[in-house]
Amino acid sequence: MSDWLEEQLSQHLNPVKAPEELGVRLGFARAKRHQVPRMMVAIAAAIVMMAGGLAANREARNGEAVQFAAADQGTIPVRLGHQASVGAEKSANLTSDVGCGACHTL
Amino acid sequence: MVLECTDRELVEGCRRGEREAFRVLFETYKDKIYSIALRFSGDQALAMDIAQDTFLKLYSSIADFRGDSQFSTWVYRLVVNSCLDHKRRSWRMIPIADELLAVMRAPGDALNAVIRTETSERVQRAVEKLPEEQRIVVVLRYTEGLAYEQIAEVIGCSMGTVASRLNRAHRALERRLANLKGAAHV
Repeated sequence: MSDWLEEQLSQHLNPVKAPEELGVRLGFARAKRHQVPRMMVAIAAAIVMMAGGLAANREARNGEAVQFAAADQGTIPVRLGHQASVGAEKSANLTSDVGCGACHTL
Repeated sequence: MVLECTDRELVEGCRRGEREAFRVLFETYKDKIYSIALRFSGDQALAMDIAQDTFLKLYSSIADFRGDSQFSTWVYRLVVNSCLDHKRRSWRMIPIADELLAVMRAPGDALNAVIRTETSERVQRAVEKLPEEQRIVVVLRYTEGLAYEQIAEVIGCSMGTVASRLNRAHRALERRLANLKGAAHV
């Protein structure tokens, strides 16, 4: 056998390290959990908070717009006080998006 | 706790059912067992299966180890039997186009790395084509660096048979890898 072949076989058939999965399969190692970097969690949390804030802001503006439009057209009476006696009989078509939805509107 | 144990102590620990002894045994032999399995099969998934089978056999039959031979020889025998038990895959997908593209794109050191990987794969494929009885001798010789005498003990034949199988394997490999000679400076 040539030295060249000896060298090639020694070089390319060298021992390798067993993958960690072998230990996991045999119960000697725990499977690695996919770790999310803390920075990513913080960024995701900030995005969610900003999105929530924006949504709340938009909702408030929409509410104001509806209220002003309705008041201008006179379609919805503006009642500022509680009317407990009529609250229960109110039908669904009298409730508006603003106010407590049961007994009064703003 | 088992620390710095000899194989004999580890075997005794395993016989008593000590989990730590099993773990140390695993850590001691996992690379050897996986390497033989990988070089014999040429396939990582198959090598994992072979290695897993070998450890399961090892743990289930450790009580049968009588100490007539070295423990490492007994372990080698188990992995050789597991290798021979597993049927070789009938085909392997060789991504020729990917390799070619990698060579064309790779500059400098990266090109050398690609050539080296390619050479490794060709050597591995040439070894895979050897008959099993020659292949296992080549793997034990070049992956584990065992002496002829140890190989003979592991596979249960004479040293003359080991020498003869290695000689035939060398001739076959020399023929199959002739085109790499002079071409690959790796």
